[in-house]
Amino acid sequence: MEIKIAQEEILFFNISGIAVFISFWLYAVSWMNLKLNILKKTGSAFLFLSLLSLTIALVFRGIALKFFPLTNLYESLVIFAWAIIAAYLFLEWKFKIDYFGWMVSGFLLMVFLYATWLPESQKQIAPLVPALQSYWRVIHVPPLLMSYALFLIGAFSGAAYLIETNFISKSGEKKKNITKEIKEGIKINSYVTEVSERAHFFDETTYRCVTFGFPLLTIGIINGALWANHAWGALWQWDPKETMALVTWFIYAAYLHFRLNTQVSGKVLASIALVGVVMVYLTYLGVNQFNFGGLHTYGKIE
Amino acid sequence: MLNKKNIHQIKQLFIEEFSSVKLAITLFIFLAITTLIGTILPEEPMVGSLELIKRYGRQKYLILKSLGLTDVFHSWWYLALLTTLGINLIVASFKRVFPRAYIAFQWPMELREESIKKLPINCELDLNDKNNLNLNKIESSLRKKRYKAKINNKSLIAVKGGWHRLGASVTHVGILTLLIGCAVSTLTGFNGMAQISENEGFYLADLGQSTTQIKSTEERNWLAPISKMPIWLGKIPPYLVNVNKTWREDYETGQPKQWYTDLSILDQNKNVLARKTIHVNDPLEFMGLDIYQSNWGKFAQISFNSENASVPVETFMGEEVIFLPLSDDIGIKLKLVQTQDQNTNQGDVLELYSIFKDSPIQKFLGKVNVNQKTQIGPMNIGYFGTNILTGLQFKSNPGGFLIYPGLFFIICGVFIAFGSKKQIWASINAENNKIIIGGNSDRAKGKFFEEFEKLISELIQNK
Repeated sequence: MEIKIAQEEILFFNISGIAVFISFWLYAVSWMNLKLNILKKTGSAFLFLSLLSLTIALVFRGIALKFFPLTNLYESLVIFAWAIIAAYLFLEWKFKIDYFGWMVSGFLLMVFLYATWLPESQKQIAPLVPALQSYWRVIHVPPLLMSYALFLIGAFSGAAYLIETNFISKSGEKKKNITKEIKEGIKINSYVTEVSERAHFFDETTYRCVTFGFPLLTIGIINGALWANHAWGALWQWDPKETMALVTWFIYAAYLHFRLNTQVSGKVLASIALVGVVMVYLTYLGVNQFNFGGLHTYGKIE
Repeated sequence: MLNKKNIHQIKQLFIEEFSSVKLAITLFIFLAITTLIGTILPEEPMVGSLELIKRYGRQKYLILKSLGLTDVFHSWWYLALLTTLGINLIVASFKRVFPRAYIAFQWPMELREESIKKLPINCELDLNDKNNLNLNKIESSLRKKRYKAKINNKSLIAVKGGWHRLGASVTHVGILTLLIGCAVSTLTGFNGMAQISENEGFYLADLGQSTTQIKSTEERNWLAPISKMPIWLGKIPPYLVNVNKTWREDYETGQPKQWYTDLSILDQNKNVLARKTIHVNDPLEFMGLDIYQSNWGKFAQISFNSENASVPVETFMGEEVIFLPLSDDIGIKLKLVQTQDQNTNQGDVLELYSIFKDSPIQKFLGKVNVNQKTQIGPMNIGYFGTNILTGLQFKSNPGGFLIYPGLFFIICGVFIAFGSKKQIWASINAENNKIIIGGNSDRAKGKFFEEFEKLISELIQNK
């Protein structure tokens, strides 16, 4: 029995996509000329409009489904996009991040296009396989999508850090050894890594994103194990999606433990964040696209 | 020479090396790489050895197998990496993480005027009769904001949210407990599958598999007295699982809704230890052993030109059918029909239709009674009744009592860590005409700045 997709839902989804498109151009222009603050603010406003629109679209879909709209790849991409916008706007508001809005909205456009170009079979509202008919879906998947969104923004921030230290501020990462003699023979040494203020800011942003994203990833994996136990009788079956999530977990655990060492280079940290986001991609979409097989083959790409 | 001093040195070296964060990071990266390899390469437990030999050819397959790459997650080196991480975690937790836990509850050190001025956020306020400002006022203001504050002569210390620092310790305890629980389950647990008909049973020991691969054929299992401990320690209990009855419930449309099995667990003396009717997602739980309703199938025994086969019967559009394709376009549909025929014992008859691809037309060819054969054209089709097989899955998870608390602590630790430790200092300067206030937060510095701003504006209002 095929449930019809509401016209309203399509309308609001399209509004959302167009708003992202507009905000991308506003951000891009304002990035090239940093004095045009008003453009940046307008870009954020459009992004916020996009968020509202997407929320309404999801509500319509949820009403049609009579359940939380998270049943196929299309819906998970829509919620993923929602999480990216929400996370980015939150970070922009709380921590005043405003340098890579164009990267985020550009990526969002790709997500929207990908979702739109999915084959009909992946988009239509269809009844769920028995194993998926569970409240666990709402507990297991959204935290993971949110963590993916945060890791993505963290990766953009890491990329911005590398660009900043390699190309823009020509000083790169200067390591200075400061030695101060306070009394006869007694010297105090200090080891300082100097980076430009913007680079330092990007580093902080990546750290913030990983600190929020890592616990969400942990909770998501654990909930997945509990759900698997409930449905299949086993907490962990070394399924490709499970192991790929574990790879992502290991990488970001390495990032956090690396950062405990204050002498570590910011470039190394940024690189780890970038490797991590590749793992996030493999976990989310790669497992199905590259056909690793296993039990999670719900969102398989034909 | 292994005297006391050397042993002590070795112990120190071990603790130093194994508590290092560098080791943890190295292990994380190696585990990430190996897990990635295991995810991308097809694994034997999932696809089977035949599939692997087909893909790689026998030579390559044997080489890969000897390296452990055909079953990465059960290979000795993967297990070694995990074990090393476990040891690293234990040593580091006790040497580094837990000892710092008390810091969560400590007061910060007193700071003087010059040091407060170097804090990331600080402010200088005049002490005069107009604003009625003193350290006590600051203390009560901070207490209202749920800071712990105390005054020492001319200086004030306040701290809030120190307990958030416990998050790391709690999470590490959780991971430790989880790893121990997993080890217990892997080493002492077992699992298996069975497809059984009604009024038949199976011994767990025959079908179950445990890591230690010791099967119990003894009369009595002294490690697990039947009525006491559910710890099997590598020996599978000598229980007999009997299927008393099994059936399927359908929707009105004929689609399967739920499968049921009435099970009994019997000991060596055929005493019934437990009995329950299970269905999907409602297993039988007895002494740490869980039996799940995994799948269910009706099978028809047919012979096709003297070749016997047990074929699964599907429910398709309200009919119970078997499809036999003869070529790309034509096939035969065998439909199971219940008759009221007094002559047949089972009342089952198989009706045969020829069906064509992309066409709803079906042509009736003939029928076969139970325990008979019918010749239709070149084909000889015999039918010998149906039987029902219920698919059961059983497992024991002895480490569960550690695994679940472990997961709980991990999640708790994550939530506890969400929050910053904020510290505020105030000091009256030497001339007694100014108060210097400053503060620091280990995270969320923006929000802390706003709070500090609010505090100052509250203080300068004449209250």
